[in-house]
Amino acid sequence: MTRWIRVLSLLLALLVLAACSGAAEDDPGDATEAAADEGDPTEDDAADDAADDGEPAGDATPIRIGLSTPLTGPQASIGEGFSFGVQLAIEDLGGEIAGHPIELFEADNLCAPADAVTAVRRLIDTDEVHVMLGSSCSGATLAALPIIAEAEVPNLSVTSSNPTIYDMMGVGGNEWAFRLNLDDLIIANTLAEYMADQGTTSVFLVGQNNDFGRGAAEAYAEALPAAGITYAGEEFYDDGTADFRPILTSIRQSGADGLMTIMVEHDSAVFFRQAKEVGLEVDVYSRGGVTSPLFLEETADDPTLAEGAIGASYWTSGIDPEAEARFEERWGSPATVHRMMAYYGVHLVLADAIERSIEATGDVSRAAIRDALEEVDLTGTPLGDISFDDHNQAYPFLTIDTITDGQIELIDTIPGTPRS
Amino acid sequence: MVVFLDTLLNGLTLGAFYALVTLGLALIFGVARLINFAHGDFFMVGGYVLYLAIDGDAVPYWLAIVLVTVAVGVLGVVFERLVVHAIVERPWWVHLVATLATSIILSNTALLVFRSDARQVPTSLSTTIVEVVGTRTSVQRLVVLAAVVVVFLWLRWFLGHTWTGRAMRAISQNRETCAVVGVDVRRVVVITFGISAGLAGLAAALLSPLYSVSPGMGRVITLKALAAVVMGGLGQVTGAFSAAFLIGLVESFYGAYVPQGFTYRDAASFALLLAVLMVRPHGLFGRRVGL
Repeated sequence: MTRWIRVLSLLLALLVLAACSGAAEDDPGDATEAAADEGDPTEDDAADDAADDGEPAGDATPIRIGLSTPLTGPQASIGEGFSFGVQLAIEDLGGEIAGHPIELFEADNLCAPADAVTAVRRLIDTDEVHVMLGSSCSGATLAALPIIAEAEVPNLSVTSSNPTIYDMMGVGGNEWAFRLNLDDLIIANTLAEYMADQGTTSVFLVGQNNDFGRGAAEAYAEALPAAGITYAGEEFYDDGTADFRPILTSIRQSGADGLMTIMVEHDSAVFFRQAKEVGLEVDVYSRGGVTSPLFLEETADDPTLAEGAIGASYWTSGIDPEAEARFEERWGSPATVHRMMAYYGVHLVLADAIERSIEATGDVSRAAIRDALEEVDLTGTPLGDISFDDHNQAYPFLTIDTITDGQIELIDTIPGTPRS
Repeated sequence: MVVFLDTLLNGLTLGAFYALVTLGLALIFGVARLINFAHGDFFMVGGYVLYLAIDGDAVPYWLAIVLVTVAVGVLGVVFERLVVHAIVERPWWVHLVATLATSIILSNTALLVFRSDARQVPTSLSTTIVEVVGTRTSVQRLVVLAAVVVVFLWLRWFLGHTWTGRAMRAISQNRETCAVVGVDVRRVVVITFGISAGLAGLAAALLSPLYSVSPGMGRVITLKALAAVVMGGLGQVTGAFSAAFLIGLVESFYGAYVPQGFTYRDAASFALLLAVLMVRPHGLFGRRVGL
């Protein structure tokens, strides 16, 4: 009997693990499911040829898109959203570009540099992708950049906002790395001016203890004093932090009249519940984690929790209602900045570059896609006009939004200011 | 003064959080000589059971607390029968791998079933704010503080005044002799796992309304609880309870009074652990035998 129980438990564990593996890697949605099933590169010489040397290999060479993103671990919600955005984009493209079917390969990077290296290596060496989207988090992207350059695979970042990435791309040395989103230096300079206009005189910053939070903090530590605002202090929290009350005590002690949060939605929801508990009353500014439909969904029992908070990002709810409604209908969860940037990364930018690369060379190749990315010139998109500068950096709109009566309200869209 | 009281309340709440989870971990180590790395994931499962119970006001909160405690307690018994039973006599590294594997399976199962978005489970207690000697707090925090004291006193009584409790203490001192004199060691171990997991469930039912529920919520608390168990003296319930509050208070005061203290509070609490172990290698309440 005991032996049977052990065998059954082992089988149960294996079933669960198989299900986990399937969810992370082989469930890319209706549009890509069939493609993923036949995604073994060893069975597809044409794709191997295309990936290896860029030579044409037939009319229907699959386009292999790699997605490096956190699918498990504390940042799994970001990765899941990325996956949803990319899958919806592929569905909206009809599962193909210029007659070439799209195959999606996903690799879990846990938002951690070491795991990001493994994930990108797998996408490049095993899955032999033609182009990658990711790595979702700044730390993971920074770790992946040298591998991208070494393997000569184009990569589009859509949410990694650490300012250091800009210095490394394009003429900075890595011609294979491109970034669609604004970085925190650009956002900080604009938002700091806005804070000053609002009459905020002293700001305390709370951020995630990673390259996202720390990179942003460095940017605000420069931008705030330049705008005449005192940088009153900073604290960082690790993934999984549940109790923010000690930070809230520090904020009150600092005497700051403004708070800048570099947080994702689920941390923001817990943080602002506790901020209300201690009675913190300051001007609230955020980098997207508060003025987000997901934040409002998580705080639906108290819609005015962050009433009046100001958000700054490169996307906000309401700038593309049709796509946002389609996203919510498809996944049963609201569109957010991470989710929609992944969508636009594929639907707008990669689709355009891949289509032109196929027109130019007759087939799918890494080098041709990279060259085509350099020539992207999209106007009138929901993100604004999109093209890449000599650092392979795009300049979408900077959005300033707020929460009014429990709803997100767009205040302004400001053209992204190129970095000098 | 308000800052001091605020910081004290924060520290006590954090300590209560750690203590509720730590007590179960200490019990298991005392009786089974096993460090259960899946203990935090029992806490996580409790969070999701609470979410299912009170979402849409399916059941009143007080009943949900009972349901969660019992459900996670049953999970602990199942875990003992399926996993621990097979490995409890094996070396510590087998315990490590088996309990870590259980932890990963539980957290990934939660990810599959509930997806990655955090679930918020506010209650009327967590949203009712009161002012206590100049510092604001939710009623839920006061309930947590009261509950942890009641649980500790009950556990002390249970271990000292019931046959099963005394058997637990005896097994923690000499397992072989207990077996020789007729104590059903296996049964006591199963009961221990049930109580231990039930305490993790109770912790989840009381604390999730203050925080949130997500697949990874058990990971950090396992480390903190383990630190408290080691600092208190492996297997010492009173020691683990005291160490949990000590860690909570150190983190709170370090976070409030040292610039960027919150950022590095974990380093402070683990430095305290090392300091305690250097002075008292068997922990604050160190003895060679437990409970």
